[in-house]
Amino acid sequence: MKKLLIMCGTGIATSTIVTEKVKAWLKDMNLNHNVILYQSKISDELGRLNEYDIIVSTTMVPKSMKENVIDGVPLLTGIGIDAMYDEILEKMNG
Amino acid sequence: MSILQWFVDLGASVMLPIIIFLFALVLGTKPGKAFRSGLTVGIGFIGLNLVIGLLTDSLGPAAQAMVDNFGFQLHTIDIGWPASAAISYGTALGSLAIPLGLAVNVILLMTGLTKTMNIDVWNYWHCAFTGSLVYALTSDFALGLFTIVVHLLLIFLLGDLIAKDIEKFYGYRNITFPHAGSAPSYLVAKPFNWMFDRIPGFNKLAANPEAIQKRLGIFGDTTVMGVIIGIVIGLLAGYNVTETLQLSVQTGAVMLLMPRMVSLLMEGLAPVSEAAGNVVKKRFPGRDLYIGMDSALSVGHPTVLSASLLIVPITLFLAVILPGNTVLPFGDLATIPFLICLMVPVFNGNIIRTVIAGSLYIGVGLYIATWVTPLFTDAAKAASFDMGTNTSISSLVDGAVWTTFIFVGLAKLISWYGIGFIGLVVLLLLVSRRKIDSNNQTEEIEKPLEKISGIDN
Repeated sequence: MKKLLIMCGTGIATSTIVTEKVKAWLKDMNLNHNVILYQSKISDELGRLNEYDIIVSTTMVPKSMKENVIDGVPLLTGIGIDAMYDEILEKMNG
Repeated sequence: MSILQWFVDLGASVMLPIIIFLFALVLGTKPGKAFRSGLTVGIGFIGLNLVIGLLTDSLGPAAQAMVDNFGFQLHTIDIGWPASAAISYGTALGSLAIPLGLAVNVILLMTGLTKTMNIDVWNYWHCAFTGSLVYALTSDFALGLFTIVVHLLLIFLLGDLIAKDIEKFYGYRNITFPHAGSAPSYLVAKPFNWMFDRIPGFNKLAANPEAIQKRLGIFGDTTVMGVIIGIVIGLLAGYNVTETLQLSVQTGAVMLLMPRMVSLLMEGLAPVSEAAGNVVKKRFPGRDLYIGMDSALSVGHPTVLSASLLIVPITLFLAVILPGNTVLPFGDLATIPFLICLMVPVFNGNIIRTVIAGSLYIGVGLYIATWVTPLFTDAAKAASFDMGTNTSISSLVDGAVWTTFIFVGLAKLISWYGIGFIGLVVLLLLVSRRKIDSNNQTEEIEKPLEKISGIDN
């Protein structure tokens, strides 16, 4: 089981959109049984980001964490979605 | 008319599912999905109503006891933006903000008056908010609609204005935040920055936001924030240990549960907002436009997070000491990032400037929030939220935004003329910006020539 965190600035708005899309994608890929999804806001999670295997964020993250966080904005703008999903897959298999 | 009245009397938890279902069908969503969307929104409303009930039942009496003990005037509970959004969309008037928003955006794009293509349909609720307040004030449905339209015009103007700074500071290319809660702050920050630049000594001050964030990390957790506020208010209310601890877990619970309920609303609205975004996108493909998104995208910036954490205690302090303020900051303490996230680019990430300007802004905002309290409470009742007896509620952040003051104030003074006047000014600015824009384009073409002549010299 991989823990996947999806976060945004509020834990309400954009992260809900991204969570719904990722959920549908996981189902299509038949991966939904391998992943537990968490949805939250950045200010609640900053202290415990290392508890997750994969992190997708629609809001900015501090520079020190940038390497471990996947940018979720493509799912909002519709540009670069495939590359983003590839990154998630890579982390899942890694 | 009686059918319409019957429909409105169904209440938000029934009326909105029907409206959302119809919107979704019109926008081409499959019936099954549209039905589920509508239902999810209705369930979100019911959940939110329960949480607001918990909030007013727990914090209400405590705030009252605190008032009795110390003579504080803080008897208005700040319920926070999630509930404010729900209240704003929870009336027939408010729910029309979404189709109006789409229509205004498409018309402005077709006439070239804006470059902002908004796909963040959810945040039209801010316009529904001012519309609902004006409606509560004047009981004039048409004026409420007109207010929504003028507010929409304003946010597209702001969307165009701030796009360049968003790209420069946050690095989001071709993205803007036509977000009526945060974009107005940009215009507040401008004069502040001009002033700060001219204060000797002060203009060189800076601090490291990441260090502050590390030190204050746990207080940024909204649930912890809720618990601490519960303890402090319990003590001030003269509660015993048992009661204080119970209150603190209740306030913590509200902070955690309220966003969960609103995220149900969001989940239900997502297919509608996506379909709506696609309608706009399909109509204007390949044009050089700014995509309008939720300013939540910028809230994670270290300066925004750290400055917000510092402003939280300042806000509570101001609420207590400012004479005449009746708003007890609570729900929107977690929303402060939105109030300042578009000040930060103007201050180029300077946290000291952000904290000072943000605190002054919210200090004035407390008065606006106090002033709109009766209207806000009426609007909540119109959206059939149950708040028990003699409770008054308001929203700190959307109350604090200066546009709320302008819209409601002018509507109160001169009703239609006031809103019409704002509309006229915004339209003129939109038109003049278009002219400036087309001039700029010709300048850009001429630039290479200037460079060449520069070398000659």
